[in-house]
Amino acid sequence: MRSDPDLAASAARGHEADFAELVRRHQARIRGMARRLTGSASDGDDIAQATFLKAWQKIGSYAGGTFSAWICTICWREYLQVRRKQKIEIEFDETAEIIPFERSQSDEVGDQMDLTRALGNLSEAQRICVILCVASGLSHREAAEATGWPLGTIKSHVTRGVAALRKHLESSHVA
Amino acid sequence: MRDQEPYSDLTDLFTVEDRALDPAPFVNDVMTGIRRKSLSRRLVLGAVGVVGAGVAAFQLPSLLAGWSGLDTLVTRTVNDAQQDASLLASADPLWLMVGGVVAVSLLAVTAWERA
Repeated sequence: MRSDPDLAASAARGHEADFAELVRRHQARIRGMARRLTGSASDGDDIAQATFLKAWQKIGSYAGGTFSAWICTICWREYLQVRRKQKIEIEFDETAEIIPFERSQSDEVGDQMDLTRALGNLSEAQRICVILCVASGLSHREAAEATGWPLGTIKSHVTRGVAALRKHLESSHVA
Repeated sequence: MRDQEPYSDLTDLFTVEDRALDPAPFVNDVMTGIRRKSLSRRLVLGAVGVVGAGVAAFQLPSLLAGWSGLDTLVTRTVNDAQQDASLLASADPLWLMVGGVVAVSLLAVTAWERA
């Protein structure tokens, strides 16, 4: 099986089939990340699609390394653009109040997994860090580079977010 | 060792959730968007190129008529080259027009690539 950097190099030379293979490989991670960030399946898929379109435009700038981290960084920036258009500021404060997901009824149908509900109970900053590091598999350093947040802040939010996530999952299983 | 080792069980849960998503329609949508964008890009570039070539071809006789004068001036002295160019531009403003078309084309292509 060809490696991601190999496919990316080929895509940079204009081979659409190789880029399609990259999309196939990473679509689940990116769609999951975007859906969790937005709290909406349709909005998430829109961002995921914009992410891959941007990746196609910028594929020549991919300089090796972990392709998933590169594409997740693009997804994060696309998400931020959408947030800016909606003029919603992300609260980084440790004491930030819990911001629940805004969900449409259609998105809620068929999406009642404990994980999603547990994520919705985290603070905004914790939720973002858990989505990037735990759900999308970025290392703390990769998440820090993608977001521009300090490494210590990422680690702190992930630790607290994971603890809160586990607590919520345990309580939901007990109940 | 990656940082997320202590919560790999949670990562696995998220991964299972993600893998349940059907990839085919999404991949198809993305690749359709890419092909559509590539096609429109080629059309714009082609149209700009054809217009530019048409303008240049239309003005070719006038430009060639002024060329011998320019050639004489340049060979006379290099120091007067800039002045000659401005003289040529004032004598034959078509140069400015062609230059403008080329500049606008380059700006359009640059803006398109950066979009």
